[in-house]
Amino acid sequence: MKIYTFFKPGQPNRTLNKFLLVMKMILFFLTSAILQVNASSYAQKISLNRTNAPLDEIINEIREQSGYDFFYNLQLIKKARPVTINVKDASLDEVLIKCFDNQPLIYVLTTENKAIVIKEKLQPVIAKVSDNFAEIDLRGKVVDEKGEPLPGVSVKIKNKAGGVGTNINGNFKLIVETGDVLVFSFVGFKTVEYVVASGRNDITISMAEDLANLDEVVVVAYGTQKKATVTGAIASIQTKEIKQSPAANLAVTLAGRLPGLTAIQRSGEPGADVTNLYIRGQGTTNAQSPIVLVDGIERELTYIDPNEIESVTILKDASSTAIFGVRGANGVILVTTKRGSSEIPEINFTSESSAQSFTRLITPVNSYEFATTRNLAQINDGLTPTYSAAEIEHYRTQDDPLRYPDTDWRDILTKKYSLQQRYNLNVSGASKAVKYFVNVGQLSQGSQFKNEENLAYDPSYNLKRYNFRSNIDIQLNKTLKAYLNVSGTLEKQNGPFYPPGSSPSSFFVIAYMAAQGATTPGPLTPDGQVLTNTILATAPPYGILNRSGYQRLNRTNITASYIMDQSLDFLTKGLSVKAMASFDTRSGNIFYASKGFERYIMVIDPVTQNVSYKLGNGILETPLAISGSNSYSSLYNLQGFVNYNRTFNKHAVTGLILFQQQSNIIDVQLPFNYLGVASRLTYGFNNKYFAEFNAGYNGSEQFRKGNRYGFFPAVSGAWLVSNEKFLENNKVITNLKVRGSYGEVGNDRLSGARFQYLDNIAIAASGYSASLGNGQRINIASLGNPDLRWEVAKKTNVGLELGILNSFNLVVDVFNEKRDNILRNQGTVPVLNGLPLGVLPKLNFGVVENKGYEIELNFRKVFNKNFSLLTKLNLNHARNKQLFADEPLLPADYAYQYRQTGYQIGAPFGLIVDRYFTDVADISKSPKQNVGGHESRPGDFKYKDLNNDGFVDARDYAPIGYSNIPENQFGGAFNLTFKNFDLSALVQGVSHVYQYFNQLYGTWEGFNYVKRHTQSWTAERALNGTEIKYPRITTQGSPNNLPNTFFIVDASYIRLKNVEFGYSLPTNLSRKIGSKGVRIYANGLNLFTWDKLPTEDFDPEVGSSRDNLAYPMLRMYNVGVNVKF
Amino acid sequence: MKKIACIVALVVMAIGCKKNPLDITPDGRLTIKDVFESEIQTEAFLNTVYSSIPSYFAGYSWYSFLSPLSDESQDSDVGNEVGSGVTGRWIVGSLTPSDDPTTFGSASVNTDHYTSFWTGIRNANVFLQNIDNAKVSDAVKKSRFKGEAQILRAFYYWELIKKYGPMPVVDKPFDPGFDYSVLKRPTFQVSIDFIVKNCDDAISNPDLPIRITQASEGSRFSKAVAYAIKSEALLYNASPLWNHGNDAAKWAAAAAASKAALTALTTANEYILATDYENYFLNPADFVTAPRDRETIYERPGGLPAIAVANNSITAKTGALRAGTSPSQELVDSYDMKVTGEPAITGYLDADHLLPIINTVSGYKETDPYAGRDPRFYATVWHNNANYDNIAGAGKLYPLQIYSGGADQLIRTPPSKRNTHTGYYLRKFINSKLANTLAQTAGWKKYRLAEIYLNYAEAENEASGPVAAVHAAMNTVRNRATMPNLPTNLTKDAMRERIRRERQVELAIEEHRFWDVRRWKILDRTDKLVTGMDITKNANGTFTYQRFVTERRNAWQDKFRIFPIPIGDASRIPDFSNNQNPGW
Repeated sequence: MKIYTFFKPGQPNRTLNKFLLVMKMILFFLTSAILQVNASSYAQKISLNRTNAPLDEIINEIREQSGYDFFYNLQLIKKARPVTINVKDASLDEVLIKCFDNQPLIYVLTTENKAIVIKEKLQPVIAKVSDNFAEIDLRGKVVDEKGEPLPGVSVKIKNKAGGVGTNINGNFKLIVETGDVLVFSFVGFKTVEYVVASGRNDITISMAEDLANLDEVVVVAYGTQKKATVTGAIASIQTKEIKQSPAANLAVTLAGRLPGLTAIQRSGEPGADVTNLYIRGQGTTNAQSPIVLVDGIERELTYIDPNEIESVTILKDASSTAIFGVRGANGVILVTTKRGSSEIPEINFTSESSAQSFTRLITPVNSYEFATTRNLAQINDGLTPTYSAAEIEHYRTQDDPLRYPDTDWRDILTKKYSLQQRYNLNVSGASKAVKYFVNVGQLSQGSQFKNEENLAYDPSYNLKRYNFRSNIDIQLNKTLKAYLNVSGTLEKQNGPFYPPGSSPSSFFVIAYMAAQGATTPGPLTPDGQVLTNTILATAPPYGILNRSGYQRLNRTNITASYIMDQSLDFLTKGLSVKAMASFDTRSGNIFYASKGFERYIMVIDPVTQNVSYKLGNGILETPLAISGSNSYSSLYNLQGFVNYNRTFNKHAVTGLILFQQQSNIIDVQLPFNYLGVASRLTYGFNNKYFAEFNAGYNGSEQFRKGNRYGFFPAVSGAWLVSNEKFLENNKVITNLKVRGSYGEVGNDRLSGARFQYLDNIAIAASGYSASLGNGQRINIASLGNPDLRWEVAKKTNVGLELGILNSFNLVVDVFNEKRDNILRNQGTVPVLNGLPLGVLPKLNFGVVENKGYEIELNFRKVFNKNFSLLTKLNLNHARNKQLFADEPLLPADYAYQYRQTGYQIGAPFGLIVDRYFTDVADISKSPKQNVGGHESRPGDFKYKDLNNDGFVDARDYAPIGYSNIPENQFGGAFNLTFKNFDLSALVQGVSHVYQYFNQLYGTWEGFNYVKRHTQSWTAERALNGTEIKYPRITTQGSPNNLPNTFFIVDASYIRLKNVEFGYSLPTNLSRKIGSKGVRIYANGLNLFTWDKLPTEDFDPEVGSSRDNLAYPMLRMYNVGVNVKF
Repeated sequence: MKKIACIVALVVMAIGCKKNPLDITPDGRLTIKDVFESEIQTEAFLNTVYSSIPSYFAGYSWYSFLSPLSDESQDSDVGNEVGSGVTGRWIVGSLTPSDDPTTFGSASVNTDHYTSFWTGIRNANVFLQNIDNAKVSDAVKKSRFKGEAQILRAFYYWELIKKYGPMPVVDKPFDPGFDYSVLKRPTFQVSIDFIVKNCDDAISNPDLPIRITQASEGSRFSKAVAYAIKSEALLYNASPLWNHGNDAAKWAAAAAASKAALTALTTANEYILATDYENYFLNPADFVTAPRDRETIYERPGGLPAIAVANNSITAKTGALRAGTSPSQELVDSYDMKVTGEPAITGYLDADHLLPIINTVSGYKETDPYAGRDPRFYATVWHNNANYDNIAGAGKLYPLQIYSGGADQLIRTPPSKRNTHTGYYLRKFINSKLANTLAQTAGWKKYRLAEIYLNYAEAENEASGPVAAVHAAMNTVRNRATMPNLPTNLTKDAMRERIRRERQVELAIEEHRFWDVRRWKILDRTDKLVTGMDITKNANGTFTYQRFVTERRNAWQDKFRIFPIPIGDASRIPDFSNNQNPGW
């Protein structure tokens, strides 16, 4: 067999529309025997002088001279008669006519495609029939509802071989006969049939978008499936929607877009803007995050350039995730990157600039309010006030700002706006042999904090990210394809130095900024030294930000996959095998340059009132000291697929068997290994009834030998009702499908330590006596549970898809999950056994139930050529309940005898605030508030004595609201196009979510005050009936700062997450600058937020406790331009 | 189909033919069985058994002693604390089954006694279960290890039931499937019997030394520790809290145990009281054949870190962070007069302790209250005008200025954690000659000979009345501090008072008072409030003294005698809930 490659280096754009022809030809290959493909270079005129030459030699000559490709069957060409020809500078037509004269073969020439197909001369019967019809040289144009040309539409003649695709202007040319039925098909559009009438050789076909497009293909686990045949619960979005957000982190852009996916951002720090993802809420007390596969391999999501992404799909039910077996229980996120598809090479350049600011930031009071409030607190404590009336007057009038300043630390330390810039260039295209998508991107995100100029180093918070990706598909021969995906990311995350620990340095800058009162002078002494106050002597935020050195995190991430796909049609039709090898490496290198700096405190001489500055503590100026650390991980993954896909009359059968092995090495640990087989069988009957069986059989080294492998099956089915006779042509119900699934999926990501099936007993240093065991001791870190298993999720899903009037599309999914075998601590084994909870083996006995639903309602209408509207609303709800937590039942005198069993995972417990105590008598006749070791005073919370025992203590703790993972989320996306303008918006919200804003700076009155502290309880206010927003303020401990209904608050919100406004230049204008299209747009992120928090100092989404001092969320205003070439 | 099978087989071979990748090389973990098959590791496990001993000392939160939870002293955090200091939480009565303020300890180990003592007991049980078959070549060594583990088990049990009352006797590790609901709380006597048996086994063990004579073995348990535990445990067992019928036999048993302990320990002067009471606490025990310190029976290794020193410092000393533990007026009042040997103050006329009953024959003068007191007073308490050594350089004496306006003054409002709240600073344990930035080497003297004398005196007085042996024991302790003998004509009741006073003085700040007032059931007399002394300096250089209540406390009710069983186990073991300690 001779194999010609399709690949023609250097001339990828020579052959317009070849792609479609190739597609057609592949179809041709499948239905005939072995065919040979012949590609050529180009020439205008043809000269030939041959005698009795074989036709294939002649064809070769013509190919080289004309640039036209020939498609023919190798067997067929052998039937050709030898050719004698002598022409000079002849046209192609001329030459072909001569060559095919008297041949048993005919040729079809498509100039658009520069392709010549050689066919056998029609059989006499058909020839006879065709004789009765005149051949028509049909020209046509295919447009969409708005009249825009549609390139790439497949045009075929029903029941005949051959066909063409439309070119960039939507035009096609085809030789047809009267009475032929032309079939126009294009992904996402309703198929149109057109009967060729005599006398018409110039037609325009308008194609309507198809909401319930049965041919639409969606990404599923390890493959793709026609959407109509899908029986599981999945949801996906395309790149267009992702790109409406200017967020630097891809995960952020997913919030509100996908029904069933909850994305919660916990920090806005460039490069550390952590976003937690949950599919259908929380199903377990162990790892809850879904696994993320980028092009089939577990990879990180956050660093990916949104321009690289084709689609993001989430797999929700057992049917769609069982194939992941022991890893699929928390759901799966599939990210598919773009590949070349357009035969017309496309170059895209995008440039974006954003102004970013904080959505919320703690706003402390001014120095006058600070001084009066501090005095009030001290009076409340029975202490002498710190500030005299004269001093307070100075603060109020600001007549002596040197001694009595009103320092606006927010203004000194933060910027109103900072810049983010993003550039992206990608090139994609496809020829017969090669498809390619190449992307480079650059992002730089600036700091929201002000830094000193003229520093010898750069301590600013900023992120620079460089991405590249190259996805290449190669058709090696007609049965063998190869794919190479390579991507890389380089991230440089910069910031001021702070000793490495549990919190990022931004926590300290924000915390201390919030804690530093406006009465503190600063930021610098006249000599340029850092000023601070006595309370924060060691931690002036200005100093941390500027004078403490810097740190730089360099992360590099290289991923590479190589795939070979061999068709095995020669064995049996529809069979193919595929192998994939992936190697990823990720390394991080953090570099610290730390520096000591002097802190000064202002001293006012009580007699002379002279101002001087004294060194605040022993810390002195030191030069930069360098240190650092690094991390490294590598992953290799091998996958082998056997695919089968065939349709026998009304029976459509597909099958998949996948062998997979993965090894992941993280730093210096033993590798994390997986091994397994997965399979899928689908069966469809008459495009109406579908059944699927998915199963994963895999294992991990987390478990004891013999316990490692698990089998996770799922069955599912669907009935496409709208394909039944009685609905087939229904104008109202355009799509109706019901589906259901049931199956088991596992979760082997058990919190914490590895190899929990083994005892973890080790020799440790620093034993009690040097005379025993060489001074060592035996450390019993944990005892093993040899029966350790994965969690098992039993998931049921019922779904309904309904399309109405080809405009409305409703998808409803209802699910029920019961997760058991959850690995938990043994809560009912008493401490008396002598092994602390953490040492006792954990057992697989937790049970969690998780129920909910998702509703997605899409409305899409093209009103006319100029105006179209798209609305996508989604709502999801997931409620979990811990059915078994091995929790001891608290004694009967506890108001609530369980803290977990029967409650939601992470449900907060605390005291219920009844009201404020009015006076001493009120306290003495109320239940004794035995909380936290502080006596109650007037103005403190009176907590409810729920068990009525006369004491308020731990026995009176009650569940307060919901956990900090929302139960409900909704998203509303709107998209409107009018002529060349487009407007889109995303509104996103959550409810049934609570956050604990505890006693840290900004919420607590210990260091500094915010607005609500000035509205605290005083006897006077209480008497006057003035609104009281905070309990009695104090400088000491109090019974108020506890988990209670005042500090645990409803954190529901609605956000205008994105708005985008775009304008596409008219084609004739953009052509003038040599471009195929120019679009100018402006968009925004986190523009408005409505919430129920009692204070405007925090963003409701950014988490609770320490995290409410995380780098706040960012609001962005972005302008961009996209140019296509 | 054959072809398909071939392909499948090929793919499988390509991917999975190597050694199973899920078999990861073991990473060096041990099992308990492995441990006892190695001599070194068996010894290392004995170190693990030792590792549950709490820090004691200034190891409670923010470098507090336990002392301010009794009437001995007051912590300077009180009134200032913004977080959750031990004392502040304790005195308002916040102890509940779910919240034990004494478990807060940022700077120490094993502060959660309930957990750490049960851990220690289990580790001892594991050790004792395996030691007989362990690969230890030397039989003497093995026998000694066994004896140490028995004493450790007795120690943990004793410390546990002292706090929580009787607990089930657990003499072997629990099996994984054990049904804990069958456990029942025994009588206190049963728990004591178990402790006594463990101590007796150790005492009769010929391979256990009576004292440690090698530095490397320092602070390992010796036979003397077994005597001390037995002496203390039986004394508590006979005390009012645990001896409801005042059974004389219990006192007799306690007296006999303490007597036997004294006999064994003092034979050939193996143990003998140190001569200098103050310096004794400032130096670590030494472990040599002829040691300087023959009083210490058990010292927990590890001295006070510098930060703990700076947190219990007089105000004027450089680097002072807190006044910390400040002795109370009640402690000061308990010291006798040196010349007469008589109590200076025998009680109070009023509930607020502002009107002391002055024993006129003692020689005490209200106008000069710090003159002529028991030398142990000067070793324990820094009072106004006392000469502080080394405040401004070695050997330079500095009279403390605790009077109002002085550099070390009492500050009542707003309270300052750097100043005393009682008018006194702590002297015992804190070496004034060392800077606040230096750690101190002396460890916590958990058991020392003087306690055994006092245990004996108390038990014998109850069992047999104030016989000569009681006097002898008391006078031994008093004479060491250069205090005169007790008068010979004391009644049994008077002797009891003198013994209690002697314990208060001799064992001050040593975590005895806190437990003694519980076993004597006198919490309602001692723990309602503590007083201090407000001192004014007069123009002529003399001082005026004014008593005041520095803090009223709310942790004196009967329920505070025995700690509640923590809520966790009280809800896990039915009998612990049904038989929770009274009042909880």
